[in-house]
Amino acid sequence: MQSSSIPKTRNQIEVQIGLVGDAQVGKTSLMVKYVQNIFNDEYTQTLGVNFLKRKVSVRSTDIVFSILDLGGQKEFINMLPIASIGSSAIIFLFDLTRPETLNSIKEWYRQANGLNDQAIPILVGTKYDLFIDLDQSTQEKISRIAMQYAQVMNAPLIFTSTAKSINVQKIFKIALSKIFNLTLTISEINEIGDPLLIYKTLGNRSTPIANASASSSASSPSAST
Amino acid sequence: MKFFSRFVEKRKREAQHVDLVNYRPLKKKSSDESLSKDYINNLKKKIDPIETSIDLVNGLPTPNSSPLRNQSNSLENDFSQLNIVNQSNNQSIANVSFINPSIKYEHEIFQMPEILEKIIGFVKEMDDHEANQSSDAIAKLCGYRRKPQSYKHSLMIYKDQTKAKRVWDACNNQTDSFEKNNFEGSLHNCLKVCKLWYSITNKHLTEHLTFEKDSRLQEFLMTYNGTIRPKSLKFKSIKARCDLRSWTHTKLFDLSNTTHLEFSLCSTILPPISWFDDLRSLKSLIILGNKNINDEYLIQISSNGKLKYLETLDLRACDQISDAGIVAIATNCPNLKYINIGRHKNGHIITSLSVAALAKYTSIETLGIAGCDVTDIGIWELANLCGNRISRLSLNNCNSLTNRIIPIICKYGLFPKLAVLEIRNISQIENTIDLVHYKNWKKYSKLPFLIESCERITSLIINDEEKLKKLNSLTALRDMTHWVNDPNDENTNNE
Repeated sequence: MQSSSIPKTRNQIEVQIGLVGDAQVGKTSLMVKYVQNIFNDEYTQTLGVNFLKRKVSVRSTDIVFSILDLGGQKEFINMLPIASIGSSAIIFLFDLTRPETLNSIKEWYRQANGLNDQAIPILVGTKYDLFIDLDQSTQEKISRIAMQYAQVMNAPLIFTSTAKSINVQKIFKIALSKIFNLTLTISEINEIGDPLLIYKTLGNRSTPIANASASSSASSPSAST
Repeated sequence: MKFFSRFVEKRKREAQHVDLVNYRPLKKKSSDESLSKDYINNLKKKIDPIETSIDLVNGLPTPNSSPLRNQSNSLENDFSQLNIVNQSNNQSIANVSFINPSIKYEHEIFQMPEILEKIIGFVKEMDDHEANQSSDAIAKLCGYRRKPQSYKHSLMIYKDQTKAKRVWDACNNQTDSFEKNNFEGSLHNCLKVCKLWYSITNKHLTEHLTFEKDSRLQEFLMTYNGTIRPKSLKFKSIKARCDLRSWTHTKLFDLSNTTHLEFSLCSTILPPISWFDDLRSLKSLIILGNKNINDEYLIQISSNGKLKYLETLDLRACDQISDAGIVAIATNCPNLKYINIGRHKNGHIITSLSVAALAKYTSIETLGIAGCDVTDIGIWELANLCGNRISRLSLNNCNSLTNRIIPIICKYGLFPKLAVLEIRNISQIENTIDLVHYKNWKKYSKLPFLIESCERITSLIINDEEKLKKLNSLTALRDMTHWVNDPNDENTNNE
C-alpha cells in the first residue's frame, strides 16, 4: 500500500513498571542492569524515586519500558503513589539472603495494591548468586515461603541475580506478556535450589477484562502507524 | 479609561516638586502661549508658600532654582507615588489637561514624547485586543479550526459530547447575533489631553486606518486635513461611492509606506489603479467579495513590477476574475506567498492553468482555490513544481478533483511541509486510507497536520482510522509476542 517516499511509521507501546521493596534488596541495581547492562557492587541509597527508560525495537513495534524505582527507606513511603499509580505492573523485590525482606512484602503489597489494584504484581527474589551459598534447608524454607506468597498475591515468582545476569530479561518479558495477555512459551523452573521461574498460572487477569484491557492499552498509548 | 487614570497623579505634594522649566517644550508648541504662561505664573504664586513651609520643616531650604535636585527627586518620588486615582473624584481623562485649573499638573513622564509614545502604543494594543476578543473566544473554542457543518460533524471532530455541543451552539449563536462590534476604544480620548498627546495619538491612530461605516468615512473626509501616511488602510463594508482617486492627488494620503491594503465587502469601491503607482511597498492586498474587480484591473495593477513585493493576495469571492488575471498576477509577483481565489460562483473560469502559473512563477506557500475548476493535473503540477513549499492547501468544493488526488498528496511525499489540508465537499473522494496513513506519519514525525473535511469525508477518515488502529494493535501484539518468546534476547542487552 505505502510507497517508499513516506517512511513507514512504527507502533509505539509504552509500559510503566514500578519497583518496590525494602532498602538494599537491589531495586536500583536491577533497573540499571536491565536498562544499561551495568552492575556495580557498591550500594547507593535511592533518594525518592529513580526513573529510567528502555526502548526495545521489534520489527515494526517499539516497546518503551518506563521504570520507576522507589527508595526502600520508610521515609519514602509517601512517594509510593508515584511508583504505583499509572504502572501496568509492580515488581515486589526481596533479598533471598534476608528473609525479613520477604516478610515486608506483605506490607508493600498491601500499600501498593491499595493504590493500584489493576497493576500486575510480580514477586522477585534478588541476589540468587549469594542465595545458593546458603545451606540447603534455609534455601528450601525461603523458597517455600516465597511460593506461598506468590500464590496469595497471584504474582509470578522469579529468582534473579543482577550480578550474574540470571533471569533479568525474563522479569520484563513476563511483565509484558501478563500486561497484554500474550502467549509465553519460556519453560518454567520449579526445582528448589534452581533460579525459580513460575508464571504460567499466576498473575493472569480474569479473562474477559484481560482481553479488553489488552487490546485497548495496546492501542491507546501507541502512536500507531 | 480606567486603565489610564492610574497614571494620573493629582496630589498637591507632587506639584511642589515639579520643575516648571520642564513644561517649556510643550508650551513652545502651543499656539496660545500667553495663556499658559499666565496660568503657570498663577500656579507658581499659589505653590510658593506651600513649598517654603515644607522645606522649613525638613530643614532643607533649597531654592526653587535648583533644577538638579528637584528633577531627580521628583522623578523618583513620583514614580513610587503612582496611584490609582480615587474613583469618587470622577475625573475623566479628557479633563486631565493643562488648561483645567482643577488639576495642578500631570506626571512628568507624560511630558516625555518617547515614553508617551510607548504608553499610547500600549493603549492601542489593549484597544485592539479588546475589540478582537469576541471573535477570539469562538476561535479558541473551536481550537482555531473551521466551524463544523452540523452537530454530528462537530462530534466527529471533537470526539467529546460536551465540547462538540458547546462548539456547535457557539457557532450557531454567532451567526444569529452577528453584530458589528461597537467597541470604541479609549484611544480617541487621548487626543483630547494636550497637543503632545494629540500629535502622538494621531500618529498611532492614522498608522492603521480602518473605515467601517459610511457616515464615519464621509465625516472624516469633510474634516480631516493634513497628510496621512498609513501603514495599513482598511475599508470594511463601505457602500457609499466616493472619489478615492482624489485622495492621493490632494495629498490627503501618502501611500508610499503602506504595506497593507484591504477592501472587504465593499461591493462598489475599488482602490483606483492610480494608487498602485504610489503603493510601492505593498505587501498584502485584500479585496473580498467585489463584483467589479476583473482581469483587466489585475493586469493593470500588476504591470511594470508595481506589485513585485506583494506577498499576500486575497481575492475571495471576487468571481469575475479568471485565469487571465491570475496568470498576470503570477508572472508579476515573484514574492507572492499567499493567494486565495476561493469562490462560490463562476468556479469554471479558474482552472489548472492558474495553479500551474502560480506554482511556476511565485513563491506560493498557501493556496486557496475553493470552488474552482481545478483538476488533478493542476495539483500534480503544483506538487512537482513547488510541492516542498506548500504548507496550506484549500480545495473545498473543487469538484473536478477525483479520488486520485489523495495518492498525489499523500503517497509520494510531494508535499512534505503540508500542515493544513481542506477537502470539504469533494464528491469524488471515496477512499481515505492513504490520507490516514499520511496523517499518522505526520503525527509519528511530530509534524503539525490538520485535515478539514466535510461530514462525509470525516466519517470516512474516522472509519479508516479505526480500521488501521485495530490492524496496528494486532501487529503490535504479534511483535510483542515474538519478542517475549525470543530466546536469543537474554543477556544481549541494548539492541
